[in-house]
This record gives sequence, C-alpha cells and structure tokens, in this order.
Amino acid sequence: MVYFLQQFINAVQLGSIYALVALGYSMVYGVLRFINFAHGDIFMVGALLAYMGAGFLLRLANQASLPGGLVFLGTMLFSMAGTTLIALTIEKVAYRPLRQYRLSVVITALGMGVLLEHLALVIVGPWRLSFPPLVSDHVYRFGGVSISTIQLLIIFVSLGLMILLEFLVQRTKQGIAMRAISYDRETLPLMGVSVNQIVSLTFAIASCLAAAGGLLYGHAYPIVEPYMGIMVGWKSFISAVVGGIGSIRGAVLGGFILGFVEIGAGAVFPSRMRDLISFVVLMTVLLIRPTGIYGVARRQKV
Amino acid sequence: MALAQKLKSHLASIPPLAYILGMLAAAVTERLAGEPLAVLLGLPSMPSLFGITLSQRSPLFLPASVAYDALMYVIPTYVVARLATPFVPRILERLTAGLLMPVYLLLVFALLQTWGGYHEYRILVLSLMGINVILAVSLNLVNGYMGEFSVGHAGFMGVGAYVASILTVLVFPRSLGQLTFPLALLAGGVMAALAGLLVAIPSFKIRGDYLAIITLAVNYIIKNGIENIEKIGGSRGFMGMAKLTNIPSAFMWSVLTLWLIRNFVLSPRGRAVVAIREDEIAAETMTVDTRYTKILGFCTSSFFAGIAGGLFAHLLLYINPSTFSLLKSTEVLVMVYLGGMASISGSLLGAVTFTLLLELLRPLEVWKWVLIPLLLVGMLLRRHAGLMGFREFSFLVPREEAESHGSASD
Amino acid sequence: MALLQISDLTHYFGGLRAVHDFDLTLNQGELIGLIGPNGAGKTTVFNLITGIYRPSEGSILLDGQSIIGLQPHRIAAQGVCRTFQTIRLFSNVSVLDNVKIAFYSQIQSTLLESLLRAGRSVQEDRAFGAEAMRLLALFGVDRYAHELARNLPYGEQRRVEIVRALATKPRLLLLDEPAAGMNPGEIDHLMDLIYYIRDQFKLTIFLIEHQMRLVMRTCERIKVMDFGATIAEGCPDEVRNDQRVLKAYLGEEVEA
Repeated sequence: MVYFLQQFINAVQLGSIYALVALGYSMVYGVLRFINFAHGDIFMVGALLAYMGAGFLLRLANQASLPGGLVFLGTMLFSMAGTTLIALTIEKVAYRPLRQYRLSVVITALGMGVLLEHLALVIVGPWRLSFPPLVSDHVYRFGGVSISTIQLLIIFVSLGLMILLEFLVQRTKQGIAMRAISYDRETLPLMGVSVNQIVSLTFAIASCLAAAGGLLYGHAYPIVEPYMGIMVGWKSFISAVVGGIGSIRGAVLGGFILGFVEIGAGAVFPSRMRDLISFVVLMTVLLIRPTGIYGVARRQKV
Repeated sequence: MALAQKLKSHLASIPPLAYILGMLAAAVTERLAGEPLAVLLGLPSMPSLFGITLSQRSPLFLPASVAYDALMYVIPTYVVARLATPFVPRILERLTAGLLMPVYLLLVFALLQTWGGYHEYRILVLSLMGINVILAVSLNLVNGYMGEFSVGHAGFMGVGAYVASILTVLVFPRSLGQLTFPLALLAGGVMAALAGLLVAIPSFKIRGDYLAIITLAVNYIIKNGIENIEKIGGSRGFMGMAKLTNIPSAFMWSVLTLWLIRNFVLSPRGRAVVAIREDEIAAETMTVDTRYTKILGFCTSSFFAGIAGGLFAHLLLYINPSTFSLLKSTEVLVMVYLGGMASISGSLLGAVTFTLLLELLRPLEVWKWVLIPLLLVGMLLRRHAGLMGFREFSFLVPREEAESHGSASD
Repeated sequence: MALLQISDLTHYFGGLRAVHDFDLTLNQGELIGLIGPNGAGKTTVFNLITGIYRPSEGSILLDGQSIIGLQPHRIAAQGVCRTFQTIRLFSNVSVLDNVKIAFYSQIQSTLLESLLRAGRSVQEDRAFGAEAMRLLALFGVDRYAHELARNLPYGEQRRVEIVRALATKPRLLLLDEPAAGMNPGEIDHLMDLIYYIRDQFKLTIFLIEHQMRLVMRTCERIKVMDFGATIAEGCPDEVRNDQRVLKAYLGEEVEA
C-alpha cells in the first residue's frame, strides 16, 4: 500500500512534466496541424537556460539575501523569456515561409531539433550539468510515504500553469481565437484576427510551458545535458497523441497516463525496457484509435 | 559575361563520354605520378579528397592543393576529353542501344576504381556514397513517389545491418567471405522488408501525420528492441565483420538499386504508387489495389534500406543500435529532400552531394550538424520540392517518353 | 438477369440515416438518373455501390453476385466505375498517365518482369499507352496527353475523368454530376457524349445530376431521393409532375 502511494506520487510528478511539454505539441498542432518535432529540444533549451539563470541568480541572491522563492520565480521567467525568443525566431524564419508545404515544414522541424541539440553542444560543450537546488529540500513523511518539497513544487507549479492556461484559452480573446483557428483557418482573418499573431502567441505559450517543464525536470532529475530533450520530447509527444493531439485536455491526460505507464512498467519490467514499452503503448493506441482519447476524427468527404 | 558564356558553351560541347574518358586518364596518371607531384608541390602526401581535408588542417596547403587539383585532375581531363571528342560519335555509332548503358557504367566503374581503389579513405567515401544512394532512392520511393512521410528509415537499415552481420560472423563460414556476402545482404533485405510490414499494414487505415508517428515508433521499437537483446551485444554493439564492402560491391548494389527502382516507377504498378499519393480513393475506384501497392511500396523501400544496412555494417565493421536512430533517419531525409522528391536522379544527386558535404564538414565536427539544418532550410525556402523535384536526368528516362516530350537537362 | 440489383439498401452515419430502403434494378444498356436536393443521399448511394462504404443493411448484386464487403478496386475490376462530384484526377501526373493508371486491373505481366523491364512488361505498357491515347483522342483531349492534369481547363478535366473511367473497361458507369459547372452549350455536348459512350462502349449508365435539362432529356428512368428515401420513380414526364418531387425541390405552399 505504502509502495503504491509512493509510486503514485512519482507517477504524478513525472506525468506533470510530460503534460507540460505535451501541451506544447498539442497546442501547436491544434493551431497549425503541424507536429513541431523540435519541441523536445525547446524543452532542453528551457532546462539549459534555467540552469544558466539559476547560476546567475543564486550568486545574486547570496549577495543580496533574496528569498528562495524569488530566485525560483526569476529563473522561471528568465528561462521562459529566452526559450520563447528562440522558438519564435525559428517559427518566423523557418516555419512560417514553408507553412503551406506540409512535408517541407515537418522535415524542417526535424532539422531544427538537430540544430538546437548541436548548437547547445557547441555553445556549452559536452556538458552533463548538475542543476542547483533552488528550493530548500525538506522531506515530509506520512506513515512511510515520503514526499519532498521538490515533488510538491513540481506538482503544484504544473497544476498552476495548466489552470492558468485553461483560463487563457477559455476566457480571453486570444484564447478563443486560438481555439477558433484549429477549427477553421481560412475564415478567421475575415473576422479581423491575424493568423500570424495567434500562431506566434501559441508558440510563445508552448515554449513557456516547455521551459517551465525544463526547470522542473532539472529539479527532479538534476542531470541536464544536450540530448535530454530527445527522450522527454518523445514521451511527451506520445502523451499528446494518446490524449488526442490538438486537445489541451488530451495533452494533460496523456501526460499523466504516460507517467503512470512508465512508473508502472518500471516496477514490473527491467528499467531498460521502459522506453520500449512507452513506444509500444504509442503504437497500440494509434492502431486502435488514431485520433487519441480526446481527438476529433476528421471525416473525409468522398 | 560573354567570356563565361563562351566557356560554358565550349565545355558543354564536349560529350559526357569524352569527359569520362578524360577523368579516367587523369585517374590513371594520378596512380603513377600522384605522390611525386604532391611532394613536389610541398604537400605532406597525395591529397585524399581533392585536398579538402589537407587545407582544413592547415590553410597553407590550400594553394598547393588547388595547384594539384588543376595539374592532376582538371588539365588531363580537359586535354584527353578534347582529344577524344572527335572519336566519340564513331564509338557511339558502333554501340547498339542495349550496350550503351552498360558501357557507360563500366567506364564509370573503372574511373571510380582507378581513382579510389588503392586509397583507404577514398574507398570509404565512395562506398558510403553508394550506401547513401541506396538509402536515398529507397526512401524516395515512399516519401516522394507514394507521398507518405516515413521518418524511420534507419530502423530498417538497422535490421539489415544486424541480420547480415550475424550471418557472416556467426553462421556462414568465414573463408567463403565474398561468396556468401550477397546472400547475407539479401537475407538482411528480406528481414527488413518484413519489418516494413509494421508500417505498411497500419498504412491501410492511417495516413499523414499519424503514419509518420508510426514510422518513428517502429524505428525506435527496432532500435530499443536490438538494445534489449544481449545475445548480439545489446547496446554495446556487434562486431567481427570482415571488410566485405568495397568500391565494386557498393557500386554494383547502388546501380542495381537505381535500376530496379527506376524500372519499378516506370511500370504500371509503379504508377499505381503515385496514384495513391495523389488520391487514394480515386485510385481504388480505378481498379488499383491500394493495399497491395502500399505493401509493395513500403516493403521494397525497407528491403533496399536493409541492403544498405548490410553494406554499411561490413564497411565500418562495428554497429550498435544508436547508429540507427532518428539522426540517421534525418540524414536520409535530408538527402532525399535536398535531391528532390519523386526523382531518382534527385536521390542520386542528393546522396552524392550530401556524402561529400559530410566529408567536407567533417573537421567541423559538431558545427556540422548546426550547418546542415541551416543549409536544408535555405534550400527548401528556395525550392520546396528539392533540387530535382519531380524531374529526371535524361539518361534515366526511357527512349519513348523522351521522344514525345522533353525531359530535364543532364 | 439484371446487371445491378439493389434491395433495401440502408446506411447510417453514426445516428444519421443517410440512405433508407433504396431499391434499384438496372438492366444492361439502360440510362438511369438519380436526382434530389442536396444532401439527399445520392452520392452516398454511389459510394455504397462502389464499395467505399459498407452498407448498414440491404443487398447489392452485380450479375446476381453480392458485391458487399468487396474492396472498391475489386468492384471496379468487375466493371463498375465512376466519376466524382468534384474532379478527382491525379493532379501532379500527366493526363496520359492518369488514364494509364486505370489499366491496373488489366496488368498481365509479373512484378519481376516489371522490375527487370523484361518480357511482356514493356510491350504491355506500350499497349496501355496506345489504348489510352486512342481513348483520349476519341474525346478530343489527346493533345493534352503530356500535360499535368491540374493544368487543364475545367471542362477538359471532366472529359479526362470520363476517359479514365472508360479505361477500366466498365460495364456500369456511375456519373456523379458530370455537368457541374458547365454552361448550356457544354451540357448539350455532354448529352451527346453520354449517348455516344453508352452505345460505343456498350455501357449501362447511372447518373446523378442537378441539371434538369440533362436528366429529363437523356434518362429513360429517373429516381428521386430526399432525406435518404426514394420519393418518386418513373419516366421523366411522370417525375416532372410528381407532387412530392415538386415539394422536395420547391418547398410547400404556406397557407395565406
């Protein structure tokens, strides 16, 4: 029982991070019908920038005795800003001009992912960096089940961001426009909405979420390296597809499903099979229900 | 400039056959006088690849390399080509239509073997080029002609690599080496073709983005699957292969692949593949068996990827699962897109260019993979279907079609 | 025996009943029309006959054999071919190749022969090419043979679509709104064309149309659908004056 609760918490933690990154895949797909294969590497960039920001802010905090929470917030904002800048540049320079050519833009995305990985390698070297803890680590115990502040941090920050996103998408004008685009791209400009602006906004939000994910991931699994985006990217991508790519609810649900599948599989199968199992899950879901749990099937008119 | 125009038209007036003979002569000369000339020019040794690597090592070698290239390649080629030009029409007359292509191929092979056969590095580059040609053409069959988006080609390559290697190392007697090599390659190809079913069958109901995801998943499942099989080394890799891949075998297999796939796309069943790309439902209604055609397309594609994998394994003599990851698949995608969609000439061009590019950029190491995506994007922005998208070199178009309407220039 | 025998054909899309108890008997050589307001289920009937959808209920017999559950290409190979409401040519392929593709079911050479370009495969391909050119010439579009299909003017594209369908050597030809987008002159020409192909190629023709001129003047029998059900059937004069048909198209009179 205790064991299950423990694993439950681990799964929620992992699932939250997958969900944050999965949201990025889903939102971009919802708006552009395009799978941004570079998104996993955006996540890596977020983690890297968070590392740099944390290093800088921690030094500043020691000198000026700032509260820990502020450092965390500062790092998150810094990472979000930097990641968004990079993502928007890629969108404007590489994706936008090729938007009409479906296959070309997808392969461009693959290329951009490779670019980011190797750019990181070049700039920072073949690093495996150790993420500095930004929050003092206490461990709370409830009858054998332990939960650390870091785990609580991850879960609550993720949930907070998701709620914020839900509000944004349901209540604000921009959010409504984002949902509208995923239904009908052509009519929207007729209503006075700039498609490019909404697309940029979507990319920005996706990047912020991925950056937050990177920051939180760095806390949970303190090793940060240039290829970390690949596996997390794929798992999050699988999450988005399982939940129904294009659907925000689907991305969140998918993220948690995958977190549970992975932790669960890890308990039963040897650890090196974890990734394999996630991919098999993906294949199975795609074969049974290609559009995922919340996905909308697009009927082709004959 | 008028001068440039004149030069261009003068060079264009020399027939390709003459150029090939010229290059052959240059290659022979290099075998005899290459090393001494290099030393004379102050180079540490004969440049392996036109002096590109040497110049990157030290810029001081650049002028000497250029001089070497001019004296050893450009001048002999031009001179012999000019001398041979008047004889070319007579030679061509003597050859019947059926002999034309084989003669060209023989000469090109002689050229490659003469130029590269005695130099380890050149053998490596030319063999890799052949392997890449096979990979690019086979992927183009699915991505270009059938209009699907397969992103997991490396997985099939891996299947072929491992199956062929296991056979030559653990099953076939070592001494029979070259004799059993084709068998091992074919076995690898067949297994890869079977693996292709993992993508072909889902493709009956699933298209587009979702199928792309499945191809990715299959790539990873194959890769992860191999990692989990300890008996063949798991993630540590597999080795022990003999160096059975060389210029003759790489050349032969790539020519075979080009020829077979070219024949296929020109045939009625090949046209059915294109029909699926354009409009699957209309194709079905016009009697095309789309399921069979999809299986044919995917499995043929992965079959040749498997052959390429087998050749690859017996060139590098060490393979491990991480070789056959998304990065490798991306490399092949770049070759296909660079060269041009639905174009055999394009895949040939793309593979050759890309292999040379990789060698050119080798000293840059990590920067290589920063530049290549940028080049790819740059290229796609100019021509979104690639260099030779939907077009072919004239020597690949069958006579009847060429006569009735024009084809792309050589 | 009737060429095509449809009984109690019913089809649902989820909870929506698109076709309801559709019956039809087609004999060899007939020219039958299917009309009705938009959304009446006409194209769905075509899709059911050609195997694109599997009917929820009912039977479809071709020469007395059921064709339900067969793959569309098998049905097409048995001689049932169609054109589409929106032109569905293979856009990035030449007109000639568009037609050559339709010879698929007539391929005799083996895969191996194709791969080696040996044996029968080259001759067969040439034969297909020659036959395709002949058909294109009959319809006056042979000059476009090497042009990409998408470059052709609309009317010519429609003709190529018909040529392509004829290449499958059909016995039953289903034409889905062949006159869509045509002006009156072109429609007259189309009517002649339809008679011509029916006689020259010994076809049975079943067509969906909105252009009343075409339907009333060419079809021997007409079926009228509305909301998935057959509301009238008979020769043109009967249908023209049928109350239910008028109501379906023009609506009901509102009491003053």
